[in-house]
Amino acid sequence: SGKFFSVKLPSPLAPGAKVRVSVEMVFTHVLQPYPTHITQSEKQFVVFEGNHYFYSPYVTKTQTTRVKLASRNVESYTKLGNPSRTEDMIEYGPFKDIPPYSQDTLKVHYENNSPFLTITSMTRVIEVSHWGNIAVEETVDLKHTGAVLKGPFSRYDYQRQPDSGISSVKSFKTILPAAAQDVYYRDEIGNISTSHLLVLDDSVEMEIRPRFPLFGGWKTHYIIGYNLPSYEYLYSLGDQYALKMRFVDHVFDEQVTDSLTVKIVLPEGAKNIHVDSPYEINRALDELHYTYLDTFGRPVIVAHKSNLVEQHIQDIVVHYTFNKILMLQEPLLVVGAFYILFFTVIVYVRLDFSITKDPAAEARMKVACITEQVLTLVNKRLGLYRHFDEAVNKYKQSRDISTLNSGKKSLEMEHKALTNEIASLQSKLKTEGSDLCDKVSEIQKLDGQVKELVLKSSVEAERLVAGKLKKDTYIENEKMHSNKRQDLVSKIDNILDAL
Amino acid sequence: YAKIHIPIIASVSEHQPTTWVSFFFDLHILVCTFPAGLWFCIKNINDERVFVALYAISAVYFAGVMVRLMLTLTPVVCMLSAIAFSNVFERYLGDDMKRENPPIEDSSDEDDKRNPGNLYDKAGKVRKHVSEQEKTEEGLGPNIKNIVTMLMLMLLMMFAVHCTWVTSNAYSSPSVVLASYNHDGTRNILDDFREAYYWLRQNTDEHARVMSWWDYGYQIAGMANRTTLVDNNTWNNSHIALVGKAMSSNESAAYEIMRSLDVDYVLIIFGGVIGYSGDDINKFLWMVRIAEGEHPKDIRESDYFTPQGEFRVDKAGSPTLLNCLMYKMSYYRFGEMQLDFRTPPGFDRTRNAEIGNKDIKFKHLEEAFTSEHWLVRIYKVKQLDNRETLDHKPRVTNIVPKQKYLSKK
Repeated sequence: SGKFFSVKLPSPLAPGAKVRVSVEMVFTHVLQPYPTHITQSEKQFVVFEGNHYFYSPYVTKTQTTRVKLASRNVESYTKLGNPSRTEDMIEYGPFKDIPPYSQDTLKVHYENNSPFLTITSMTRVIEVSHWGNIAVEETVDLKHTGAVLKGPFSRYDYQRQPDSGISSVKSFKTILPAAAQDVYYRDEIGNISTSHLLVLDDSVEMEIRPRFPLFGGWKTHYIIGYNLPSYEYLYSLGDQYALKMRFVDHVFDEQVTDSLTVKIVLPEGAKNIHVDSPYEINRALDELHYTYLDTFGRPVIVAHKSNLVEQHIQDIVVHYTFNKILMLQEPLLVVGAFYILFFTVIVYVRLDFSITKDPAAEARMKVACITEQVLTLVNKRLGLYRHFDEAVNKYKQSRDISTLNSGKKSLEMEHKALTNEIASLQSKLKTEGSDLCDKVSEIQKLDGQVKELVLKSSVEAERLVAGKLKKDTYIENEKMHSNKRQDLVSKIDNILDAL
Repeated sequence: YAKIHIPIIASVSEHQPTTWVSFFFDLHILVCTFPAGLWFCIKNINDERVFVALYAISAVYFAGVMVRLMLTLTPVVCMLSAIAFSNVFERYLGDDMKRENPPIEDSSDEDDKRNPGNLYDKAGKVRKHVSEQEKTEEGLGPNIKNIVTMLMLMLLMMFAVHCTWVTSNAYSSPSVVLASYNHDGTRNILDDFREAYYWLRQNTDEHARVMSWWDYGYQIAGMANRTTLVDNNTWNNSHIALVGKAMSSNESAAYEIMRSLDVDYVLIIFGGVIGYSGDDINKFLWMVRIAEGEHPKDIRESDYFTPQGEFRVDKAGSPTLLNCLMYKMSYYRFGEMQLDFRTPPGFDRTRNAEIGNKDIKFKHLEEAFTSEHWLVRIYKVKQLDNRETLDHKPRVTNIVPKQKYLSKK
């Protein structure tokens, strides 16, 4: 009975030749704590049941069995063939000519205070994003499977006596991949503050202290997550992608995992998924995972395995094809959403949902609109006069009458145009029945006077240049004219204020 | 009425009368500018300002009664202080250019558009006129203006700094995680509460019942996910009084109450190792008062004080206190612990006293878990023994049977 493995030798073995084969076997949960319940101050003893002989389908000519123990304190051990015992090692044998399939129970009862942690269940989620990031999150349920603590837990003894609770677990070291960043360590009630992160060249070491020390039978639960850059683990050739990551990662040295679930979330639109695993895994049905900006869900590969040890830390390769254009889907979704929002607001603001039309309000709005236009035109006109003033000054300096004339002409033209526009607006105001049209007509009158004064000043300037007028009188006249103009303009201002 | 006659309401620290310290802590300089603003408000009285003045006066009264009611005072204080500050700034920051053109007072859009156009016209000419009229000012030299403005700005900046500090330290720090700072500035985090609650969550039976004081009820229900007897929703006064009675009686009487309530674990907070002042021994007198309110024959508050009327935990403390369940649970095994070489073993840092009863033994409880800095202590309530121990010695007689009985068969 038992499980048979076949080994292929590198080269065939000739008769009479020798070859060395070394086989490493790891067994989990074979060390049973005995006594099963201990108090805090007692040491932990375990029983190991094995086989004195080498269990094989072949005849064994000579055989020695060496049992290396975790401590030198051995309670009892089976004595077959007069074993010799050194400090922490028991040597049985050498036994001669052992027939195949021979068994003889080997039992050693010894002290073992090394931490008996078991990961009862672990879930590892790897989320792949083609924008350059792979997010890994591990949810771990830990249990201390050594001798169960009976009686009280005394914190005083634990802190002050050096040998109290020696089989308890205070902390352990997890080794994360070298490029791990943004590491978080939390559980259901929040962040766990008792941890230390050490970034080394070829790995990131995290010393994890659970919230409380783990004694026999105590369990805890935590979540560890980190980000990895995708260029280290995601390989691509055109549309073909391959993700090469560890199936299970290091949690603590010589770890034992009872049940493991691995979920790999691939980006939306990944097709032709094919998994290469280094050992047998149980694949469950692919699921769909919906997260940010997803329309038809991301494919998830789910795999289970039980009874894993440290030697199972090996790479698993996932092949898939992914159309690069689908990467644009995410930013386009965001852009589209904003576009629709703004468009709706634009349309909504321009719609009029009032049930009854309010004629007075409408008329007021119309009048206000026209008044604004009147104001702009009047301001423009006043600006015109300034331009003309400048032209006159230039003429005084340069004595060039042609510029003066051209300036006068342009003034006349624009003035006429503006006055006509204001007149039309004034008539519109009248139709609306507003009293503002009277004010506008007053403005027109005053403006006419201003124009007269402006023209007069230009005439005076001409006369001065031509020498027909003396400088003193010119200055006096100018002053008078400007004063008059001031008054008129201020009057216009007042009226405009009242509008 | 409620504040004086119902001990549960009286025991809440936010229900105590407000001290000047807490007024200043919350309001800083606004305490001084608030009456000024109130006066400005009353000076230019209209309908809305009457409401504000009445609100201010009644809020001041209420805030003086209870610390918690400071909340009603803060909005009106902010408003009135703002009025005071804006009046000051208006007077002292007044700009000369504003007095230029009296007509330019209404702030319509038309005005703004038109002014630039007009000023062009008046450019060289207007300023000459107005500058001659400027000699009649109000007598505020620029020096005084600057000094007063700077002073007000400094006050306001200090106020902003103070408010930021208060918010970050007093109103933002989670009280579940305690942080202390070492002499070199590094932060030392004490996560004892969450440690104990998580232990409860993971390592106790799902249906276990936890007895603790009502302050921690919601925390236990939320983080430890266990049933509690009493929690922060303190509407059942007699139930809380029962828990208080259990905490204040000696172990056997308390065990009876705990069996009747079907308690599995008892949780207490003990701050003697780190000097945490919000622990259960400091709250103990309120537990006694609340229990006395319901069971005046069994619990008397005066029993827990020394004959001189002091509340002491050392050797001079009252024997009722030194034997009650809360005392025993807090100081179990603490008498052997020496925190540093200058103080004797069993020195309570919070009460600054060496405890009186160092040799504590439990008959019905067992220590289940204590957190790293002894802040949270959890005890398991043991089941009844299978057999009652005899409370008398086995009978010894001197009668020796005369002869051994032999069967005649």
